[in-house]
Amino acid sequence: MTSTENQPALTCWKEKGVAGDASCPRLAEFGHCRNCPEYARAGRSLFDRNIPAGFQEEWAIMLAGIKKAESPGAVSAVVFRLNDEFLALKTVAFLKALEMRPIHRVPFRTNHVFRGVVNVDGVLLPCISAAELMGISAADPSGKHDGHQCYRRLMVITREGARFVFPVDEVLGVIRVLPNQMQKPPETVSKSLTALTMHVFPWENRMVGLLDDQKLFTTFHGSLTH
Amino acid sequence: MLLLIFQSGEDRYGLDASRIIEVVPLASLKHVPHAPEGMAGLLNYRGTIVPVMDLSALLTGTPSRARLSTRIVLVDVSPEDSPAPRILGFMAERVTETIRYREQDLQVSGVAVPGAPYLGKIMLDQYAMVQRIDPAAVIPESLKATLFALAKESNHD
Amino acid sequence: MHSQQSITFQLSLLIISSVALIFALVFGYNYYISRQLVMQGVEREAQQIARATLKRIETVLYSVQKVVQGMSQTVQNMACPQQDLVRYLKAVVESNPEVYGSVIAFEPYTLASDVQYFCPYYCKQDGKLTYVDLGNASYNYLNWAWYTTPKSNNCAVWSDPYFDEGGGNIVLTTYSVPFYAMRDAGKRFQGVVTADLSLDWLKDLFASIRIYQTGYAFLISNKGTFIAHPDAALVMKETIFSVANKRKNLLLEQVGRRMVNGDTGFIPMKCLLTNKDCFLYYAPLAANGWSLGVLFPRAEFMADVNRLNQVVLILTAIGFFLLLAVIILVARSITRPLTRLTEAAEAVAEGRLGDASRLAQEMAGRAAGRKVRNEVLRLRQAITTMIHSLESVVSQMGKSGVLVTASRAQIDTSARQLESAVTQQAASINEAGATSKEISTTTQQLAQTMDQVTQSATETATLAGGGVTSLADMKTAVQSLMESTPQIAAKLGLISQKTSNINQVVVTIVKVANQTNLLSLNASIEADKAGEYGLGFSVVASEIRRLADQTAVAALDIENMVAEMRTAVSEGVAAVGNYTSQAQISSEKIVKLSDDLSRIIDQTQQLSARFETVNESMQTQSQGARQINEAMEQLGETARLTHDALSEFKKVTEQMSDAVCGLQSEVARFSVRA
Repeated sequence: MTSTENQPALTCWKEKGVAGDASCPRLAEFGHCRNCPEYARAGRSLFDRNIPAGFQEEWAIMLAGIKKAESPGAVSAVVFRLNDEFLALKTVAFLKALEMRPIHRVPFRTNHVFRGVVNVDGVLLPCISAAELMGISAADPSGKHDGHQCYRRLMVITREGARFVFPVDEVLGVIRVLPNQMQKPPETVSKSLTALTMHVFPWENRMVGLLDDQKLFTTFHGSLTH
Repeated sequence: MLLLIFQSGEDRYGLDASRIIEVVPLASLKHVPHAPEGMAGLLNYRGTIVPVMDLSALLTGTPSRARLSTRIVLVDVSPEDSPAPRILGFMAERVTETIRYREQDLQVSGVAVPGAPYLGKIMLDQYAMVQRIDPAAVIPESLKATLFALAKESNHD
Repeated sequence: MHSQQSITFQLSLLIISSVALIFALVFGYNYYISRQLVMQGVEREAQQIARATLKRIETVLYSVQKVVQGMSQTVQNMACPQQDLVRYLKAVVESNPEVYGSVIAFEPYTLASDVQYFCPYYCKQDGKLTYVDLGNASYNYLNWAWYTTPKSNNCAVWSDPYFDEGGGNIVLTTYSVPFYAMRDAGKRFQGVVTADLSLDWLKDLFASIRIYQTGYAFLISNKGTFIAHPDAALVMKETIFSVANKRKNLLLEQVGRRMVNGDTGFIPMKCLLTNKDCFLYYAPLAANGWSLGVLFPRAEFMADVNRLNQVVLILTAIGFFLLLAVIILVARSITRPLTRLTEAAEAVAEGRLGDASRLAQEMAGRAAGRKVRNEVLRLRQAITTMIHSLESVVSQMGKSGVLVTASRAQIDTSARQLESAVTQQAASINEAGATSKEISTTTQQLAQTMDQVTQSATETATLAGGGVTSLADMKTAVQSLMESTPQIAAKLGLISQKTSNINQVVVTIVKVANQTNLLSLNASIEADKAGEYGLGFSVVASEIRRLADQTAVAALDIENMVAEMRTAVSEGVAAVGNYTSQAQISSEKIVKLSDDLSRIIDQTQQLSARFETVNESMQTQSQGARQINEAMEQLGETARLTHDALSEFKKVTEQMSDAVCGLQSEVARFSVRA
């Protein structure tokens, strides 16, 4: 890789920035080199490099690809994982995924299902252990799954004004599921899980359970009143 | 309002984002023999043949360099309330940022360049001046017709 | 004469001092006892004087007290008009000679409801009975101490003595008695009756108290004020404390305190008038707490005892002189013949045998007429015999001394000849010894030098041997280094290759970051088109762009680090290569150096053997020389011994010569009677 620019690569954050002696006067203004325009410029200077071989041809083919027309009845769903179970929830019920953050215990209320409350944008939302509700055992605390590193997230879901938070072991993304892909859930999955699963569909060589969002919210509400 | 920033020579320009359909990487283009000046080639964009103009060549006379940050901006240049979009590609260097602005941030350049009606008002951001460019006005209507004719021809090939 | 004086002196000193010691003990004891007795007598006498005086004073005081108490009873019981009271008062003053003046004072409005002040006073001013009405506002008797003190204390009070303000220099003391009106359930204070007592008569009383020549008595009040004292300057003007203060006399102050407290005691102190040693007896006056002091001058009451002592001492001195005269006479009669004998013995000592003999015969002649004392006679006979024997010995020695002197001269001559011969011999031997010693020393030095050369050669050989070994080690080390350098190079090459892999990863990261940046642009554009609804999404888009920038910076960092690493590795490879070639050259040089050193060792070892041979012959030579030297030294020693023996001999003859000379001179001192 050769730089096409004549000017020397900017590495000020290593000399007078956070990775250096922190003597840069602009550090006070921005708090961290990440927020400094010089840093962004240094990063973007990397994009001024020559195009690697095959890049243009590859993209020509990719851009020529005909955009698939949306199949009617396709359902957008968020796929996530609870230990070994791959589950999905309709995107309409999904608000956002958060990094793990402290779950505050509620005295005399916190139990193995109702875990406490979580601060989401200044609002305290109840946190429910979905895995516990569905009878799924806890995952390996190291965060490894099938040999790759995963990140636990907090899923924020919403329906008719009600909002809940529940921890998942991994959020895999938003996918579209066609109606003809939907199958009846098998009997093998656990009773409580079966009760909440609407359909199963194949995704990346495995079966994913699409949860019934209405039942899920009802169950979540029920766990609060215990 | 949003401007998509690019660079030509040492100067920075902004394209109004409202007419932009998508920004795509610098894919290889089909070259057109005896193409009009400033035309880089033709791009197959999701089944549609789109003529691609080199903005750098148009503004400074030097063709854009093949860099990772050199990208193709796909703009809908069809006249207002036209049902079918007419897409034109603009190749430009350093297409890596956008700037949000208000109309009052812009100042009139004060110099009207004949033959370059697309050069718009000027605004200042934290680095330097940015001059707004109307992508629809970059290409004269006559040239547009030629280009789309070329594209249509290729499409039927 | 000295010896005679000495015996007489010693005898007198011994006897006189023993007698003096005994006398001193007896005298001292006698003085102590008689002093004790006198002191006891004085104390008794003081007590008696004090008691008598106190009794006389108290008699007066009590009589006044009785008068006043009677008045108070009368006034208390008598409810009579004012004129009667005044008349009664006048009668009391007239009829009691010891009363100087008297008052009857009533509390306001107690005598009669319309009488505020009532206080008639009679006194014998200048022997004339005088009436004064003190019952007026200007005098206001209600505030005076003679009225207030008995009132507040509810008892009769003797006032401190004071100068009467109106009636000249009369010292007065007042006795005040309160009286009461008996009403219903108790008594109520109604007034005070008083009587003034002139203290003039005390002056006469105390003047009449005579103790020896200068002894006297004094009286002080409760506050220590002098009421009576021979020194008129003190009376009513000073207190015992002020005097003590002026004279800085702590003892006096303590005494004053005890007297004021009403103690009784007998203590030694200084007289206030004459400042002589005194004894003070003090006792309180029972009636009003005044205190009487009686002073006894010590010198005066001890005068008799002291006079007796003087007489005894004079008699003793006379006795001592008589005793001394007797002792000297006795001593003289013993020492006189001894003196004569001593003179004879001194004549013998000085060699005047003739004089001594004559003295002895004179003594014998003198003694013949007297009664003989044994010890002195025997001494004289022994001295006479001794003088005769000495005379014969001295004449014999004079003859033999001449003979010894002659033979001593002969011996001296021959010894001197022998000495010179021996000295010559010793000198030649010393010379020979020195020469052989020089040879021996030179040879030894040469041998030592050879030794050093040999040692150096051996050390060189050893060092060279060590060098060969070190070089062999070094060669091995260099070879192993050369073997391992390709391995190092290979490993460095591997690192280089791995860094290339990292660069591939970096390329991928850059591509991803670039794509992310592109996506963020599209996202921003889409969000912008969505207007209001896209605002949140546009924030996300710019966040994503920031992340892409950060990823790109991380890639840049990695790339720079890899570049640095690659530079370091290639430098390492170059250094290793360079080192290897140098090691190759060093290795060759080492081999050559090792050969050279081995040759040096061989040569040095041969040289060493040759040195050994030389050294051995040197040793032999040195030994021979040393043996010669030793023999010479033995010879020299013998000569020295001979010389020493001769010297010794010479010394002995010289000593003998000296002895003969001494003998002759001694003998010459004695003048033998012809």
